[in-house]
Amino acid sequence: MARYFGRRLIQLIPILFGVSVVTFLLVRLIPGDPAISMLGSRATPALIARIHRQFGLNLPIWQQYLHYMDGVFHANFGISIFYEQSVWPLVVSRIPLTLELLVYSAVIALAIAVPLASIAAARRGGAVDHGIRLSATTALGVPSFWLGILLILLLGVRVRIFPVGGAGTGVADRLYSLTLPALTAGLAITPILLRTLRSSLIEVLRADFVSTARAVGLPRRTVFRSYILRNSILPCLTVLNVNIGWLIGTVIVVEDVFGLPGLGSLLVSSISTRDYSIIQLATLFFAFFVIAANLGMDLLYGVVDPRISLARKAA
Amino acid sequence: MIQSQQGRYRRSAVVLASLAVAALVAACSSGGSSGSSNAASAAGTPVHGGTLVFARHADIFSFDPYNTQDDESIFTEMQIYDRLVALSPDGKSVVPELATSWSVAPNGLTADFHLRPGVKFSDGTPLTVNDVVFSLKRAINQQGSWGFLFSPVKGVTALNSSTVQLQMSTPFAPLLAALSTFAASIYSESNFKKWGSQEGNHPLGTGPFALQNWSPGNSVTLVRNKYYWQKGKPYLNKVEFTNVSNDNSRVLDLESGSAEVIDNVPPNQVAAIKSHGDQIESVLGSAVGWVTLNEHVPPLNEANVRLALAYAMDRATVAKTVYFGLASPAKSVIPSGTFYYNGNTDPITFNLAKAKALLAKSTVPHGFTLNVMIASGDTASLDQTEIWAADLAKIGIKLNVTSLEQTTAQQRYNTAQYSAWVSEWTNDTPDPDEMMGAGLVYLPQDALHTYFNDPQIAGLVTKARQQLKAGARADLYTQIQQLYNLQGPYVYTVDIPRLYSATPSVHGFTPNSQGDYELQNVWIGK
Repeated sequence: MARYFGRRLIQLIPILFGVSVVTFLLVRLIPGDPAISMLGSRATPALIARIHRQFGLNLPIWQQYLHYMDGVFHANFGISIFYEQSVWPLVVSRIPLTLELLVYSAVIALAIAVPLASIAAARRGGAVDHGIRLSATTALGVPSFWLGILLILLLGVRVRIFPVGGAGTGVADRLYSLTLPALTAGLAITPILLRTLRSSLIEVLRADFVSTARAVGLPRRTVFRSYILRNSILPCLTVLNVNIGWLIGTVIVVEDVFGLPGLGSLLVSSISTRDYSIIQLATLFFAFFVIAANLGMDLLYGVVDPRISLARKAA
Repeated sequence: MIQSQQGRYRRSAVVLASLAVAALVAACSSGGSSGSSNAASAAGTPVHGGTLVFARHADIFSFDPYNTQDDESIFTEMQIYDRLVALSPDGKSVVPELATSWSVAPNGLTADFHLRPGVKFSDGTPLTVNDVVFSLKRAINQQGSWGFLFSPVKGVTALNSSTVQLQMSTPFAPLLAALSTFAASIYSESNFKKWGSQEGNHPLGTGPFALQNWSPGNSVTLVRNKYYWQKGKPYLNKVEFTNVSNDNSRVLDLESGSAEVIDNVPPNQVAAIKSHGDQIESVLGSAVGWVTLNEHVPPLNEANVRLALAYAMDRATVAKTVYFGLASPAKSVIPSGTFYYNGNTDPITFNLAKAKALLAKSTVPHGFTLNVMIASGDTASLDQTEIWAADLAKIGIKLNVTSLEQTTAQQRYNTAQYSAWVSEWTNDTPDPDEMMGAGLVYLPQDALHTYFNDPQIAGLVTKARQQLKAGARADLYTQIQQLYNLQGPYVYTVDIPRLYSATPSVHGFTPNSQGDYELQNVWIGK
């Protein structure tokens, strides 16, 4: 187990290195000069040159990359052109909120998908099943930025249950403030989870061991919980795992709609301003989240399904 | 604060869907005329206390005027720092602030400012002449982003403990206007030095409010400066600027009571907000929408062609339909709140017959295809261009519109890889010299990348800059405005408003023409 974990951690290094190279080149290859973005109509050649010199943007790209990597090995991820501050604290301070939102969204998505999928599977082919499946398909087509606004309008303005923006302070307030954003992001992946879970539930329902369990007279509830759901949740987790990248993308949009000061909104604004150092570090963190989530999910498989032995897989 | 449909990065510009409207209101300040529906609310007896939550479309970046690039930082600095002089409430002149009086030498090469006695910083330490000299020396540094506003100013010295002298290489008429901007903010020298490279996060000024906390990306909290020199002010205990980049979310913040004031109100929501009972503050006069034309691209090198394009621009319709009547047709290439603005110099009307006649005199009498560049998401520019295109089609000119991401478009404009660019100009100072010095003079930026090159106009701009007599200066600017209208270097469209909204309980919120919120006058009633 520890060996497996260690191996996965070592695999992280080349992946993050690759992401850093790609991001570094991409941000410099897209047109648009940060100095011009910053100076606007004041962008005289002299001022542009001063900013280029100040941030080393006048050097050839390979030299810029060497400087960047040199900094990274000294735990210096560069200076933000706009904030004129070290990017590390700027970026790191945004992470907790984004992580909380991600986890909260995933929990909400599962909390909606699992019961609905169970009902749909149990009443397979009936009106309720069709209704749930139709809603899921419809929900799949609803863009998050629109849904977010709709939820704010409904639950923040008309019926004032939730705050319409801001991240809140303190645990309870934070949880309360993030409910609408998490619901918005969660609903974006709920349909996918729901459909996967429903079909795997139906498959398991037909399995011999379920018939056996029923035949020996186990209570319905026990059969469902211990035999059916437990066997069906695995594909659902796989789907969630595969879609974690997409959930992160959704969270970025949701942060903007709800005005949340997370990593996503920082990334979006930094792309517009071409604040290279922030984009690079924020992207690295997002890549790290995806990898870490996949690793976490692998560990979770072991808990849900003891047949999967990570230690053996690693060997 | 400079132009903004172009520059707001940072800003909103920035952001996704909000860009559209942001671009529109993005600009900077306003001036003089203001369609305020809350003029009456300044009446009544001010109440002390309370927190004002002000939801803005973008976060700030710095508190150091030397490095500041974006409007939100600028407007926040206006609350924390004072300057030697301030813009008058009507936006038409400059009035005392930290200086109680000043005198300019007859040859125009020195200006002496007498400091207000007894002023203290928000930590209680007294303001000294050394703080003023230190701050202004940084302001005039030509290496700084804003040094150009003070380019003829060569030195700042203390004559005695209460008098500061500025030395100029040539007479410099825009001096007072430049000193009223955020770029000439006065701050504490010892505090600045104490924080070293972190000074941008630890401002100490004599303004009505002091920084309590900045949580980047989230909010800026200011508290009342209890040492503020204007007795009884400010009224508010606290101001909290929250960062809400999404336009719709900001409006909903106002309607749900989460915010008392919002900025960058989407024009299409103004009517609904008014019907909801909230106030709309529309500040006109600091930004003008325009199309810049690259004269290196034929046939834009011909004045007849440029003027034909201008005569085909239906400014009244743009103001009415694109800006929901909140903008007014532009009458000059400088925003209407600029000093020496003269709206009577504009002979250009919407007249397709005239446009056709002008085109007939050019090398392309039957028309041509014009490539037009717009920042993507900038719906106001797009709508405006569609109106223009429909009219131009009638005289044989076809518009080929390309939408590019904001910073990419800006880059192409700056490197002159464009034919026509729909954007706007926003003043940073109320003096016309900034726009004219950049936009009508060939150097240093090829007349804002239009390659407009008219030695007579350039000579007049320089002359006006050095003319210290207001009357003679006004005559020169009127002459300049008349002259460029014969050549059409820019197709100007409308005076673009800055739109704010406030709940009915907010009193005295009337931003001035430089975009200063003037929160020292604001109070919250019932």
